[in-house]
Amino acid sequence: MSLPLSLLIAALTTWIARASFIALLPSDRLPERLVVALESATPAVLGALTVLALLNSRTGDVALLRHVAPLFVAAGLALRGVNLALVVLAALVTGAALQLLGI
Amino acid sequence: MSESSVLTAVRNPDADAIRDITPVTLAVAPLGFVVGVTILGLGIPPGIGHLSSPLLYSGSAQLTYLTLVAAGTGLPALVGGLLLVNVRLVVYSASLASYFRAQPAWFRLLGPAFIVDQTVAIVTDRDDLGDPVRFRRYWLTAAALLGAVWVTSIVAGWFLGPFVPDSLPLELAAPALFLGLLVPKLAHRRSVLAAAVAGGLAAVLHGPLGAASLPGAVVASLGLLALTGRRSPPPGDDAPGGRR
Repeated sequence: MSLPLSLLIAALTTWIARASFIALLPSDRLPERLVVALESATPAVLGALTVLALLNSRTGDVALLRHVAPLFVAAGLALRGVNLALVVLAALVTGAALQLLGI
Repeated sequence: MSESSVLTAVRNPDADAIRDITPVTLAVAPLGFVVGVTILGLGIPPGIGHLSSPLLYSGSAQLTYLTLVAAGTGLPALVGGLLLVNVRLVVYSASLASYFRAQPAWFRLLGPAFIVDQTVAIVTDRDDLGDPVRFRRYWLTAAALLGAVWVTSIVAGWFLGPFVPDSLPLELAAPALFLGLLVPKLAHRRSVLAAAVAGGLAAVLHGPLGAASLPGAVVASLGLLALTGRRSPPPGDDAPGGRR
């Protein structure tokens, strides 16, 4: 399989997932309970992504504190409504500081 | 017409989109940088690697594609891997379907291409996108700006990756970004429950299921909410900017 063909198939597969209930399947026939549940879809997905991103970022014997502490900083700043870019920057700076301190 | 309706009618959707997506694009740039470094490290032809950025418009899908292609994976495994990592996009599609119902056909085909965690997060933070034209302009403006920064950061990572010191913990960018997007959404008990259940399941399933842990956790969490079947409390009074 050529690389351009594989990319085309990958793009089509991803588009199908995105367009599934918008251009391909009827969305107005979803069960009422599912519609209610979907109101919480975004926090559910983001919650899972946060945990998985944390687990995937841990490699080798790096101390757990080096990954958890920056996220506590990020969560605290996000709770105070700080700009998202600064939240991520603060996490990176905290992580870098811990690494330089040998933690 | 109420005062809030007048304010909604005159507010520029492009300006709102730029204001909402700008901090998100800046937060996403480190992730794009990592993707660029990955393209370089996997030895993928640059044309394919960089073309995959706008065509897939998703870091997780792009990394999955690049990794599987670099490993010489066949078509069935490639499609299967992408379907697994993209299950959350199906969930997003269902949750955003109401925004697209009154849209013209061309937008119903093109618009979904920009469904990703970041665009969904800013849309679901607003309650003033009910007008089809307003939503269309907001969506396309936000998607264009996010896409431009995303592609640029990937190219930057591809060029500059070898010069970045190892002491910069770029691997923290992803969890910090998702956490930053999540926290403002935890305004209601059901949102907290959904996030907690999905996050807990993802942690438990990560070991045994690997890439399938994400769709498994999300589907199980939403299934639990569907079974409980109670509607979340209505959002509070509209903020002047239309944000929840």
